[in-house]
Amino acid sequence: MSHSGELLSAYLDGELTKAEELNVVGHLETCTRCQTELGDSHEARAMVRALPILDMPTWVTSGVASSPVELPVRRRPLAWAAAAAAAAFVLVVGFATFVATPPAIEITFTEISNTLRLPASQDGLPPGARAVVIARSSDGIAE
Amino acid sequence: MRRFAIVTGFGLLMVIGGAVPGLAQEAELDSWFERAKGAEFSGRQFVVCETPDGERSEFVTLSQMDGVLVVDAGSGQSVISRGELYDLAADGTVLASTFDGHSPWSLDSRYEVSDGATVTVLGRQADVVNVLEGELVRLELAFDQTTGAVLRSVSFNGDGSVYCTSSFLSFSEDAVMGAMPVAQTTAAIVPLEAQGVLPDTLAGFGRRDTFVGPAGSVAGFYSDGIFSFTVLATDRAINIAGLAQSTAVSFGDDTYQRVFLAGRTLYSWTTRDGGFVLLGDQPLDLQEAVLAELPEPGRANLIKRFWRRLFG
Repeated sequence: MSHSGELLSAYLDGELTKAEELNVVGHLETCTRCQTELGDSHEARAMVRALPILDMPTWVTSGVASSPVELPVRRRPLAWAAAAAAAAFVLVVGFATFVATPPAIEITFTEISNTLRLPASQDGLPPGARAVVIARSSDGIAE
Repeated sequence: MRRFAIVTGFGLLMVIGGAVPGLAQEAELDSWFERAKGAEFSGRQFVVCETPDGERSEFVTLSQMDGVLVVDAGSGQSVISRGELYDLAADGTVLASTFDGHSPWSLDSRYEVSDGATVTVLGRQADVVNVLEGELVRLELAFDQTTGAVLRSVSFNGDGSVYCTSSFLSFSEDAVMGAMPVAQTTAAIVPLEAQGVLPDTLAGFGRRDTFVGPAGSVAGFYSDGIFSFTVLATDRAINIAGLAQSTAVSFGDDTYQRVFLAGRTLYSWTTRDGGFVLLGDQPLDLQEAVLAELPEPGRANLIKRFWRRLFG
């Protein structure tokens, strides 16, 4: 049997099965190292149990009692869920808007210019008075 | 008979105008224009405008006879006859545009007409007529005494500075007219009975005509009898081919793309609901006044677009 500190600790706590306990006891009879370890563990437990039990200071108990009870473990999932929902909404709206944005229409300057020239040419005004409007046969903008 | 009707009508207007000053102003200016419209001439005209982006100028050759006006600005030719506009491209193609149902010309009541002095333009005697807005001269016209043609016109900004001047550099009473062009393509401008799409008035300009504009846009032709502009409205942004040389200009918090040409200024912008274009010959202060009454530029309303996408 190999050395096993875990089994020794369980052995001290009385948590081993009968078969395990027999194996540990058999090993201890021949292994000085485990005997020493078992003795140290037993001594340490005895020392802890020998420590006096002290009352908790009143400033600690009063502070705990007067503080609001925080439930971070319960709130955190809600906050994350809200944030995730908001992010999802923004993504959906943004994507839908991007998809929904219609492409710009293309118009030539000549087309725009004619919407001004033709009606203006019919209202009876002569060139000169309306030279700046109707006396434009071509566009000043290169296309 | 027609002349009799015109004279009688004009006389009647003058009588009525005694009680309604605006009508008298309109009738007086209309009589000058009617005569100019019947003038026969040809000549070369220079148009120059002072703009915040610098001077814009262009030479234009004009010929007019029998109600037909031929305009040549160098890179193409237009023939304007009543109700029809022919654009002759450099490659020889001809596009004809027709438009029916336009409103008659009228002069806004804010204007007054004042006869000025007699001047000499190109050695010809001309009568000066001023169109005033209060104390401000908005348009100065010099009518040729012989033919009735407008030899020179000067428009003014609201601060009294000159905006645009168009004047003949050469003028002949002999009109040189070719044969009427034959169009390969005809585009009819379709009038609309659109109500509520575009305002009835903008900064004192009345919406005279509403029709289907390019790419299915709604076009409104506005005029105050002196200056005119067109507003195009669509439900989408507008890209104007060849508008790369536009510059951004801001009025307050609103920013537009603007291009100055000789005699015309174009603005384009995108609102929350679509795109707009303004093209007109009105002076600088009236450009800004008109823009102030149109929907302001703005970023697209994401939620509204999303909603429209989902539910139309």
